[in-house]
Parts: sequence; C-alpha cells; structure tokens
Amino acid sequence: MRVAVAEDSGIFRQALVTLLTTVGIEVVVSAGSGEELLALIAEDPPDVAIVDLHMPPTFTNEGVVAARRLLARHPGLGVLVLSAFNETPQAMELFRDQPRGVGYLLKDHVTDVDNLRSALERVRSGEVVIDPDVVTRLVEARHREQELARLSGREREVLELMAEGHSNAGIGKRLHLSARTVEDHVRAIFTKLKITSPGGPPGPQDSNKRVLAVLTWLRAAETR
Amino acid sequence: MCPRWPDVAGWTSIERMVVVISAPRRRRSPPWFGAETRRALAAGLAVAGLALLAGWPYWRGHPAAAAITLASCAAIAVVGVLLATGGRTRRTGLLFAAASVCWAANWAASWDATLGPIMSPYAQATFYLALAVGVLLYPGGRLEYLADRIWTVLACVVLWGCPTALWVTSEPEWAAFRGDSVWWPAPFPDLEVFRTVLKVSGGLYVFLAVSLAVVLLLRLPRMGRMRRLLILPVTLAIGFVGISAALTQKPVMTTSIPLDDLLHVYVVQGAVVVIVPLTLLASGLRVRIAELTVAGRMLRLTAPVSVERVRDALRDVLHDPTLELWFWAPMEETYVDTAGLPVTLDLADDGTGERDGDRRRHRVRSAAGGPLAVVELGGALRDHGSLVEAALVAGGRALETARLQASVQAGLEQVRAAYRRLVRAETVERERLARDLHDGAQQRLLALGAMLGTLEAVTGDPAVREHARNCRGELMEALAELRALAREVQPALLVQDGLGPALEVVAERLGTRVALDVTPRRFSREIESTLYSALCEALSYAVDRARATQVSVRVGEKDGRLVAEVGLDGAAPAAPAADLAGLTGRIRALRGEVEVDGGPGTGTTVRMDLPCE
Repeated sequence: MRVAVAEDSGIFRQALVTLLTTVGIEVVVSAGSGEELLALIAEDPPDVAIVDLHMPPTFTNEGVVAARRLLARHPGLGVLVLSAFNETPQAMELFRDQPRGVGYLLKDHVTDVDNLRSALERVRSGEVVIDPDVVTRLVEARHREQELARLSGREREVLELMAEGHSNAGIGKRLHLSARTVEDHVRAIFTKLKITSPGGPPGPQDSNKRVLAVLTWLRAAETR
Repeated sequence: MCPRWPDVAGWTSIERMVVVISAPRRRRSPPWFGAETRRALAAGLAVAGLALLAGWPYWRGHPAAAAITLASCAAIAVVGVLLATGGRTRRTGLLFAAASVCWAANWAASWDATLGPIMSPYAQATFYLALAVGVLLYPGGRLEYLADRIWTVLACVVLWGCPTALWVTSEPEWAAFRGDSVWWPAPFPDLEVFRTVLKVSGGLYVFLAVSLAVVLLLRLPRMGRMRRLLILPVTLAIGFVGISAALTQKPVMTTSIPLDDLLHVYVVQGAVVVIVPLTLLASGLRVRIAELTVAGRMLRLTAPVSVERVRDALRDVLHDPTLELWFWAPMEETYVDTAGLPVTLDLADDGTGERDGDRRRHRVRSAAGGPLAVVELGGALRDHGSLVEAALVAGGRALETARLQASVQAGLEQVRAAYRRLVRAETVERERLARDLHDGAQQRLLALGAMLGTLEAVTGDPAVREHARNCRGELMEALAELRALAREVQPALLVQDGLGPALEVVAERLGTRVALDVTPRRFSREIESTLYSALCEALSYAVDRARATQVSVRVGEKDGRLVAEVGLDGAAPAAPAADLAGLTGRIRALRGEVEVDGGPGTGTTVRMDLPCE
C-alpha cells in the first residue's frame, strides 16, 4: 500500500513514517501541510492520505479542509484524518456529506500498528472509520437514555461497531457472528432506537450511510 | 424658533450666566427688603411728590382723585424701578419709570399757567407710548417681531404729532386753558381746522389702541409655553388699558370743554392704567414662586440621589426633555456621562457655548469653585435664567453627591477596564500555553508512542514486545493527563468554532444529559473565554454539588447583551452563591451580572448576563 503523510510536527511525522515503513507500508510523500500534500500528490496519487487535523496556520480544522479537497480532486483516494483530541464536532464535520473512504482516528491509536493498518485498509476500500473512543464517549453520554437501555448487551456492541464504520461482515468477524445474525441485530437496533434519516430509512446494508445516521442519532441527544 | 437679533446688554449677560453653588449669604434685613426694594420705594415716593406738586390746584378740591392718582404714579414708578434691576426687563423698567414721571408731569395742566398746558398733552402721549413699548419689550428686552417695530414707529408719529397739531391750530381757550399766563404759540388758529384735528386725533388714538391689541395677540402663538404664560396677563391688561384710554379720551376731544372735565378724565385714565404694573408684578411673583417651588421639587425628585435622577429631575422642573448633563470626574480630569463613560466637550474658555441651533451649555461649579458639571439646555429656557439657576442651586447638593457617585463610577469603570485587559492578556496567554502543550509536549509523547509501536513491530523477542506495549500504555495515560490539562487551559475548539461546539464536548464528558441551545454567533475572545469557563464551572457545580440528572444550557443574545442560563433539576445546596463565587467574579469583571435562583424541589437556575458590545 502507498500512503502520503501531511503532519506539521516534524518529530511525530518522522516517527509515523518510520513506523509505516517498518511494517511494509510505502510512504511516497511526506509533507508539512495540507497545501503541500495536495501539490506533491497531484500527478501520482497514493492509495491513502494521512492528514493531521491541527495544522498551520490556525491549528484548528485544516485537516478537514484538506480531506475535503483531496476527496474532491482524487475520487477513490482514502483519507485518514488524525487528531490529538477527541472532538466530536470536528469528526461530524468530516463525515457531513461524503461518508466514503474517510476516517477519523485519534493519534493515540495510531501508535498501535494493527489498529493503524486496519484503519488504512478500511479507508482504502471505501469504508468509513470512526475512532472507537469517539463512539464510546457518545454512547456513554447517553447511557441513561431509555432507548439505549432497551438494547441488549450484544446489540449495544453491534451499535458501537456500526458507529465506528464497520460493515456487517466486519462486525460479524469481530463478534464471531454470522452475517445473518448481525443483520437481525442491526434491524432490531434501528427499530428500537427509531432511527430515521432525511433521505429515507437507511438500509442496514449500506454501512457508510448508516454510520452517519447512527452518529447523528447519538449526537442529537446532546443538542436537542 | 425666534429670529436672531443684534446683541444687546441683557441678552449677553444671561448667556454668560455662570451658576456658582455656594452657601447662602447672610443678610441683615429681611430678604424682600433689599437695596432694590428700598430704591424702588424711594423712586415711588419721589414720583408721587412730583405728581402732588404738578396737580396741586386740582387736588385741593379733589382729595380722592389725588389719592388714586398719587398711588397710581407711585405704583408705576416702583414696578418700573424693580423691573429695571433685572437683566432683561431693564428696558421695560426704565420705560415704566419714565412713564410714571410723564404721568406726574401731565398734571401740570391743572395750574392753567405758563408751560403747564402745552406740556401736558405731550406728557400724556409719552406716558402711553412708554407704557406700550415697555410691554412690547417685556420680557425679552427687545422688539422681536416686525409688527412690534412698525407699531412703535407709528405710535411715536401719532402720539407726538397730534399734540403738536393741537397747539398749532388752536387758541388755548379752545383747548380748555383759560389762564392769563398760559404760553400757547397758536401760529395758525382756525376753529374748523382745530375741530378736524380733534376728530382725526381721536380716531387715530382708537386705531393705535386696537392695532396694539392686534400686535400683542400676533405675538402669542410664536412664543414658547413658559413665555406665553408669563405674557398673557400683561397683554390682556395693556390691551384693556389702551382701548379704555382711547375711548375715555374721545369725549374730551371737542372744543372749549371745562378744564375740570379734562382733568377728571385724566384721573380715570390714571386709575385704569395701574392694572398694567400690577399684572406685571403678579407675573414677576409667579416666576419667583416657580423658582421657589423648583427647590422643593428638585429635592423631592432627586431622592435617593443618582446621576440619572438629577438629570431627570432637571428635565422635569425645567420642562426640557432634551436637557443633558455631564459630570466632572476629578481623578480622570474629564467629563463623564451618566453611565460613567468619558466624553469630550468642546467648551469655550468662559464655560459656555452655543450648540446647534439654540442649545446652550452652562458650566456648573462646585462650592469650592472647581468644575462640577456641564448642563446643556434647549433654547426655550434662555428667558428663564433665574429659574435655571434656582433649579441648579436647589439641586446643588444632589449634584455634588451625584458627582461623587459619578467619579466612583468612573473609578469602577477603570478597575473594570484593567480587569478586562487582564482577562484579555490571560486569554492570549492561555492560547499560547495550550498551543505549547499541543505542539510541544504532546507531539513529542506521540512520537515516542509511534517509536514504541515501531519497536513492537520489528522486535522478534516477545518479552521486548510486551515491555514496549506496557510502555505505550503508560505513555497513553500520561497523554490523557496532559490533554485534560490543555483542555482546562484553553480548548482549541472554542477558538475555532465558538461556544456551541466547545460546550458540546464538555457536555459529552459530563456523564449527565445536557440539552444545549447555544447561539452560533461569535463574540470577542475574552467574552467567549470567560463565559466558557463560567459555564464549565456551572456545569461541574450542577453535577458534583447539586447532583443534577437533567441540565439545560441556553446561550443567546438579546438587545446587545449575552444571556446564558444553566437550568438543573437538582436542588441547590445551602449556599449556591458561595459555591459560584469564582464564576461571579469573572462575569462581573466584564460588567455582567449573575443570578442564582431556586430552592428544594424546584431545581436551580444560574443566569449570567453580560454586555457583548
């Protein structure tokens, strides 16, 4: 797999490149900002771009901006945004209207090679990746809600994996369940939580669209 | 709006009026019996004496007529001299004093000898002329309108022309004078012409009286409310006097009447005329009463004293809703408005100045002579200098107290400004610190984590791998602590996306259901930063101290003020205000207010309200 990295902190960028190279992932471009990355990969785009969320000049949401431009310019490219902080609003901004081939990962989890490799591969294949910590916190913030209390323990696990962006197959693999069982669980969750979305009921099969619906539902509790 | 008129003495003196607030001076005599009163009484006695002398031959046979006439002369003289002491009524007063002398001189006719008879018609005419012009000059001290001036010129011509025509065309006997020593040139005596002169003169007198009434009525609608109240009684009086004089004069405008009949008419005219000075006196008293009651009203209206209240009281008693007031703040050496904010006033060196249109500013000085305040008045008050002065004197103590209050306010404002600068500096410093933590320490630790990950990946030794994994775990714990610290210092999200998203993250961490309704509008850094930390404090108070299970946060802007409300279902412990002291201090530094409401069973509401420019 070929990846490009945009990260303003030299020391972390170097460590990340070393880590990637060590585990056999080819780093074709290593840039200090989103702009630089866009320029360097214009001719020969890699499989996945890894972009830091906080970069110059404002250190706020440059990563999200860069991700949008990368996806617009190179369809089929996977983008993994790294953040040092667990900030739900930024993550939601990233998945707002194009939940395909995008990932939001906390930098803490990048240090775990297996985690990183798995996220890169999922983003490359067009899946959506959301850091488990983001989902966990959203679910915990609502753990007293009546609707959530109606879910069984297994259904809660399926919900969290669904929110992290896993497909039915991925969920089945992690929980050692058959695809059929996972599908039943997903349907039950959607019914119990009464999840709907503006574009009609999200099909349990379309994992990218349903991740957005689930996240929106989880988050809506905070602001409604 | 009154037309501008060339500068005259009285006008200027009022404009330059400077009010000095000081302790009342001690007087030995009663206040109403001052030098002015004594002078007026002396003048009255002198004129009465003159009238007694001039009319002596008639008075011997008519003591009642003598009493009436002497009293009338004296009254006109007294009022005239009293009016002459006032700045703007000076001319009216002098004319009235002159009129009283003329009326006394008029009685010289009774001697029926030498110059008396020829002087008498002139004296009578000048008497009415002085009286009428005196009223036209009242109270402004000038002939403001064109009609006033035309009438004055016309009256001069008629009132001096007719007596002249009298002696030119008649023998003294025809004009009621039969004495031997009467000096009466009579260059062209002709009875027919004389009869015509009498008829025309009589008609002209009636015309003058009626036209004066018209001129006076024309003035009324053009005057301000306060002025009209002052002038109306005098107008009615002089109108009545003029017309009655013209009508009583008519019967004697025939040839060869007895002298006694003529003098009898003079008695009636003199008695009627006395109502003019009496109404003027009444108007003066009315003004004085207004000035005296102003003191009481000011005292009532300014208790308890505040800057706004002093200003509103002045607006009320002076009937000027546009009145403005600025106080001198000695520490800052500048004038401040009622809210305590500094203003720049361009004042002339003498402390007065004309503003747009007719508005005027007066500098008010304290008992010690230092600057106290500046009052800006509308033009309608220019005739009421003494009323303005009375109001300012009466409100003097309130003004001084209010000045103290204003300077305290100004001091407080300075403290707040300093606190605000501090908050701003702190905000900047927090941002710098947060960035240092993020870019420096955190990136270094994360790089270390990645290196450990690399070690894990490359090593073949399970013990090393295990050890590296443990190290990484420890490292992540340290990172979490570092992040918590950075978040407390300054959440990056607050700077980027504002209060709403930053509070959403806070709410997620809280573990309690929080309903957020936050305006997406952005505010200045120190307002956002202050309100964010205040809301964080309120939220942790809600969870930790009040044990709330349902919390709502509402932040909105209304009328230039940012209002934040935290509602929680838990009952507040004993002293919520003490628990929230830190929050209250921060909000107050930005000129905001904090309210904590609630009781057992009703939940608690923390309401913060601060100006957002």
